[in-house]
Order: sequence, then structure tokens, then C-alpha cells
Amino acid sequence: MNKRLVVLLHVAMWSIMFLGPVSFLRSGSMTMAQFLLFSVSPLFMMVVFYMNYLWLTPRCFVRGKHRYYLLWNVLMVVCLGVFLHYSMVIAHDVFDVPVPRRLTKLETVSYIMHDIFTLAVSAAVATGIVLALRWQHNEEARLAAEAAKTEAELKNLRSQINPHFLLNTLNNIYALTAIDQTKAQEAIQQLSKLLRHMLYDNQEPYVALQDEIQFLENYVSLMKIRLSQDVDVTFVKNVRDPYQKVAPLLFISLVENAFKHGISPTEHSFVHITMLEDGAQLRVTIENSYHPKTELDRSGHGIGLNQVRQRLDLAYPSRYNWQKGVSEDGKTYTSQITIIL
Amino acid sequence: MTITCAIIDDEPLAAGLLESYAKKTPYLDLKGIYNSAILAMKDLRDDPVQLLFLDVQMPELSGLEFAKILPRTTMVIFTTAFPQYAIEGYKVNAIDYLLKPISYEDFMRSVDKALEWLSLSMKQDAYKRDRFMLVKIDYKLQRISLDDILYVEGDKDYVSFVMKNGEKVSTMMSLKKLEYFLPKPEFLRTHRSYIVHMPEAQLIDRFRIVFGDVYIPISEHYKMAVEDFLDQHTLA
Repeated sequence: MNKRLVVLLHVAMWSIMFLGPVSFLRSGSMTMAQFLLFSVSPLFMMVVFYMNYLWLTPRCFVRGKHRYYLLWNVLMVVCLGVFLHYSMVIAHDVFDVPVPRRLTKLETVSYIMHDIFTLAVSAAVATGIVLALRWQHNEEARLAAEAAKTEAELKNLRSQINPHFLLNTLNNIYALTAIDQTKAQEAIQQLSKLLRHMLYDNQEPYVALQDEIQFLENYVSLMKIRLSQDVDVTFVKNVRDPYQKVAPLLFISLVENAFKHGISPTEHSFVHITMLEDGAQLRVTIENSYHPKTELDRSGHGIGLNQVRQRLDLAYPSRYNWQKGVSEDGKTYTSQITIIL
Repeated sequence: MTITCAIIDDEPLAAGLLESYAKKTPYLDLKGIYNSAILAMKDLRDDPVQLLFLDVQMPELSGLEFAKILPRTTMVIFTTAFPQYAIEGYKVNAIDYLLKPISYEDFMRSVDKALEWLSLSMKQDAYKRDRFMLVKIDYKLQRISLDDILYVEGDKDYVSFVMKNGEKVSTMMSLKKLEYFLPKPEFLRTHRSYIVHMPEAQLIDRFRIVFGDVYIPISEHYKMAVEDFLDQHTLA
């Protein structure tokens, strides 16, 4: 809250406290003496309020010195309460305001109790305000920190190259150089393009669809050199506007997962990728044979599906549809994302 | 000497590279290439190879798991892109591991290790079976019958065989290496400088082995194995 506004609020509040009783008086009958008399009580409340507001709550209560806080308040409220009562009595005499009659002992005690209670409420209100403000402040700081963290995570995710993929691909290219040099050169070029996309193009919030497709094609080719010939890998695309802007690296995790869970050395395996764009919609379908792997195999740490969801939420809030799951016969896993462009 | 070998790697290129290396190494006889441990299992158990190049990370059955069910006579060289598996590899008695990408030099170094291992174990078997060894002495080879040895004394680079007939035959070799060749527990190391042919020990006196007027000490380090042997043969 603005500091000036806070000061204004305090002034307004205390004005009401001081001037309030004046309005109860019959018009014109107010003397200076009476006004001063009425001001004694709010003055004491003010003392208690600011003692709590500026010192006891922030310095003692918030820092865990609850006993200290309580002791000081009780001492202050009781002393001031008693003092308030007798100062009123004396003030009546001094200003020569007529006192209805002499007070009985019981009445004196009840007046003192009333004064103490008023002051205690004042202390409680001050503490309440301080605590509420503090809580609000902390909450804001916490939310800001959380938002900053999420953003950093997303940035990190976007630029992340799976180190296992890189290492495995390089090892395979090394082997390829001994077996087929032309293919090895091709693979190095594909890897180079793939890295360029991940490191540079990816810094933009949106990239051309054709660049993203090229990137996925390079990835698929590099995965293919690691697989036996029997694995059936296809990549079908039907794009009307190759320059359509899309968020980068949205689908790579899904493709990664398809290779991770879809390839078995002993059974028939396939990965089918389809990308359709008709100007209004982009639909990406990834299908693979479903062979869940053992825990020990950690060759392809994909970025989790949760993070794909996060990125979609960020780039296309409520403009996408994502369906995924294993087919009824348990042999095919399909993941389909439709984005409204 | 040729060594029969096989390759298991789920990545065809990795297997292909090792295949090309094996083919250009004259004393390697490549018996099979497999893309998965499951496919290799039957062949390698029915007709074991001497040396297996085994990838660690493979789907369905990892190299580490597969190594545990291999015949003991098969020597395993693990191939992996991730060095953290190396230590686990040694737990299942791998003789070496190769870190990808594998150069021909790396490959040959591992194969040499396997060769050395194999010749050692073949010698071990031969000595045990035929009960004699040939020892080099000044460009000559002398036959030493294991049954005639009383004990062996080591001195830096030399070992001296003390025979039953009192003869002493010295040759250049470390006691440590000799210990490895000799069958156990027939021959036991009792001390940094002694290996004793245990069935020939006539007298144990205050934990020393007595041969005539020679007292062979038993040191703290080797005490356990000697005590076990003595306990097993003590009438009580």
C-alpha cells in the first residue's frame, strides 16, 4: 500500500475517534473544557495503538517473543486504564464539569474495567492490522517467487538437450564413420542442424512450422541410425502454410517417448508421426507400438508429459486438445495434440 | 590360439563397429552378433563362447542381468556409454569394460587382457592336471614336479623352489604371480616370502611350519587360510 494513503487512513480514523463524541453533544453547548475531556480517552487509545502498531507487534510478537508482548500489553493497558479513570475524575474537577454524583466503589471498578477493555481492544486491533499486512506481504512475495521459478523452469526446459540422446548419437556416428562415411557425414549434418534449432531458433517464442518439422525430421533420422532396419518409422506431413508460427519444441518430448517406449528388439515395432495443418488447426499424431520398458533402461530420459502440458498451457491456453492413451488391445500407444491456430 | 567371441548390442551400428574390429583381429573367431540378450541366450548357453562383448543398457534384459546367467567360462567385456556402470560390471566378474565410442586401440587393449587371462587360466589348468611345470633357468627349461616341492621362497625378483631331495631351483618370477599359478589350497602362501606345499608340512611348532631345521613363519596377513587348512586336517 502507498505510504501516503496509509498516513491518510490513520489520520481519518483518529479524527473520527476524537470528533465522534462531539456530534453527540447538543449543538452549541460544547466548551473547550468539554472537548479536552472527551479527548483524554482517545488519546490513551492512541498511545496503546501505536505502541502495538510500531513496536510491540513487529518487534516482539512477530519475532516470537509472545510472553514479552503479553506482559508489556497487560502492564500498559492496566496502568493506563487505571490512570485514565483517575485522570478523568481529576479532569472533571479541574474543568469544573459537573459530576452527576459521587461514584460507589463498584461503579469505580466497572468504569476502570471498561477503560481497560477499550484500551485492550485498541491493542488487539493494532496487532491484527500489523499481522494482516505482514501476511499479505509474505503471500505476495511467495507468489512472485513461485512465478519466477516456473518461468525459469520453462526456459530451462526449452533449451534442454537430452544429454543421453547427444551422447548416444555421437557414439553411433563414430561407429558409422567406420562403416559408411557418406551416411556418417549426413548424420553429422543432421545433428548440427538439430542442435542449431535447439540452441538458437528455440530462443524465439514462435518459429515457422517448417523449421519445427525439419527439426523433428532430423531427430527421427538420427534415431533411425540407432535402430535396426525392421523398425517401421514413418513421418507424414501435410502443411498448407509452412510459415505458420508455432511454439518451438512442443512435440519433441512426445516423439522421444515414442522411441523410448515403442521399440522392442524382439517384437514388431513402429513409430508413426503425422502432422496436419490446414490454416485453422495443427494436428500432430504420434503412434507407436507399446512395449513398456524395465526400470534399468535409462537411455532416453524424456522430459515428462507434465511439462508438455505446462508448455501447451503457456503457449496455447484453452486453445488445444490433447488425447493420449493405449489402445484397447494394449499394443498401440497414441498421442494426439490439436491446436487452434 | 584363437578365442571364440560374440557381440550383443541393441544398436546395430555399435554392434557393426565391434564386428568390423573383431573381423580384422586374426585371433578372434566371431561366432555371433545379437541385437538383444534374449535372442542370444539360447546360443550362448548351449554353445558358450570364450569372450563376449556385452552392451549394458538394453531394453528387456540388460547386460548386467544377462552376465549373471552366463556360463562361468565366458569372459565378459562390457560396452557402455555410461561409466557409472563400470563398477557394477566388475561385481559380475567382467574382465574389462569399454567406454563408447570405442576405438580399435581400446578394443585391442581389452582383447589383450582377455588373452592374458585366458593363457593364465589355461596354464593353471595344465599345471593342476599334469602335476608339473617347466621353469626357465639360464635359457634352459627345467621340469619341476609339483609333488616334489616342499616350499617356495621368494626374494625380490626371484623365487627358489626347495625340493624334497634338498635341491634348490631358482628362477626369475614374482612370488605373487607364482601363487596364482599353483593349485590351492595345496599350495598356500604363509608369509610375504613363502609359499608352502601344505601336504608336505611334517610339523607345526608354535605356529611355524618346520622342514628339518627350517622354520617357516605364518604371518598375520595369511593366517586365516593356513588356519583353515590346518583345522580341516587336524584330528580332534
